[in-house]
Amino acid sequence: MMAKRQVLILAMTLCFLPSAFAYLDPGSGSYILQMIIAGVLGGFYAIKLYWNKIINFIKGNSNDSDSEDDLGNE
Amino acid sequence: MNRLPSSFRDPSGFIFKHEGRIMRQIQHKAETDYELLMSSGLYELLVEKKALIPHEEVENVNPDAYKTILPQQLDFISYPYEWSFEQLKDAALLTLRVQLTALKKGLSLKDASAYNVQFVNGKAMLIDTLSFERYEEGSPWVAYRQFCQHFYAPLLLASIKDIRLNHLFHSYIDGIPLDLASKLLPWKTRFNLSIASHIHWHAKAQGKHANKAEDTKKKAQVSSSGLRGILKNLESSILKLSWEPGETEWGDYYNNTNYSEEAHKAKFVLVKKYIDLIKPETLWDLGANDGTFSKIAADQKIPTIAFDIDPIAVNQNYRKVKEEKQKHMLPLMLDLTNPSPALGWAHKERDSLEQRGPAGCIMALALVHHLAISNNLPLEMIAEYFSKLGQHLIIEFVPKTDSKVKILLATREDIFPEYTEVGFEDAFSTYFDLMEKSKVEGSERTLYCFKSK
Repeated sequence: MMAKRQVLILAMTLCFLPSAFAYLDPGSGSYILQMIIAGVLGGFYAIKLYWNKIINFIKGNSNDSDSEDDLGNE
Repeated sequence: MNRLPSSFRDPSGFIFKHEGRIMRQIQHKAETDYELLMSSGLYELLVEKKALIPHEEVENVNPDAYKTILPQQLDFISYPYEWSFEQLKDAALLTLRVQLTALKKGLSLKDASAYNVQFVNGKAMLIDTLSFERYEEGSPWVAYRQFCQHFYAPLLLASIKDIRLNHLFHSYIDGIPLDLASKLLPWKTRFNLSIASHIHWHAKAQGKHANKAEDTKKKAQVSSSGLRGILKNLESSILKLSWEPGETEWGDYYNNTNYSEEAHKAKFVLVKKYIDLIKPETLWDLGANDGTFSKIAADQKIPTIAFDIDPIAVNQNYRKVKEEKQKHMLPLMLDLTNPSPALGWAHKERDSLEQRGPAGCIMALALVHHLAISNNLPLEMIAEYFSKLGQHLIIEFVPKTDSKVKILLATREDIFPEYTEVGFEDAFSTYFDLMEKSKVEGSERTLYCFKSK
């Protein structure tokens, strides 16, 4: 019962979190441009990922390039 | 509470100085985002990778604060108009990679200012702990425009057009306007998908939607995979950018100094002796070339800044710093005849060079003849400014009999009767006390060690 209540409180908290406030003006043009190019550049990136997966499969390499460490190794 | 005048843009918090230490106050409205940064594992990961400045939470100085943090203290704040091409490139890649990492942890960078990056122990590091906010699935990147203005546009202009366009940072404190970048870049760049998207179309979209009261914030939807695609595209485009100056453009000055091997060694020994004598806490080497002499101080763990006017020398030095994992040297670009000014609102957002000093010691090796003869600066004015920049001074006097000075005087009238060793000592004695001086064996030059009065 207690656990259910905690889950409910957590869910409600997440629902009513204040929306993030941006202090920068992102610019309408910049937002609209992102919507337009996201499809193309996101698509290219997805193709690249699948291509890498195929190459890795052929080479017998199990590395998943989408789970790469974006910051690289120190 | 001594709030820093540069810290006013983001209402999440601000920087202040308390008991000689720089601290950051976090306001209550930033509680959710800050706690998410700390609890999501992102802070720990970024600090471990040396991508974000570490901090500790301390007792509030101001009772109205949500929390107060004490970040790792920095010796010097540098600005993007002082960075070499590869420094700006590394700062850009850091910002993108931090954003990519943050997205995976459910956060996003709410700003992407080049001024939020500093070079700490030889590596670019984000210094604004409050730059993170909760990422809402479907949201575009709020800092996309700022990233393009602060990083992508200046890197493209420097790489494709001319390295000197980096000086535009002086005029545009929020980065290069994209319509200006679009005009300055060659026409052929419109056929490059990345440059066309992030600069040319971006500038057009901005122009088209400027001054229209549209509420795009609620309507605009960008999937997380689409956003990752945009960021990865920016990353791969920036990775391909390079700046390789042609030989004819800048010459081969740095392999062509006026010293025999013997004289070079003698000078090296003398500089080391004077640094050991002064034991400065910080050192600025003015006209450091590729940092050969700055390294003497940096190797002794003295925080050292190697300034030079030449973007090639500074870039070479930065490469060396990275290769050698040199933690105590920061190469920066500086035109000493027109040093970095105070900029921004009320001239208080970005400090001038002098405001960031004085250094424990400044070095001016093989420099005074360039200032006095090429730039007509009276020796007394040089001495006065140097006394403001450093508490001690190691300086080399290059007489008129030296072949480098002969070259400078070959094409012009000698209007410098005071430019003699006696004139030099007279001018500098007004502002400095002589500690030691010595002839550099095998040359006609003299090295002086001064203490500011």
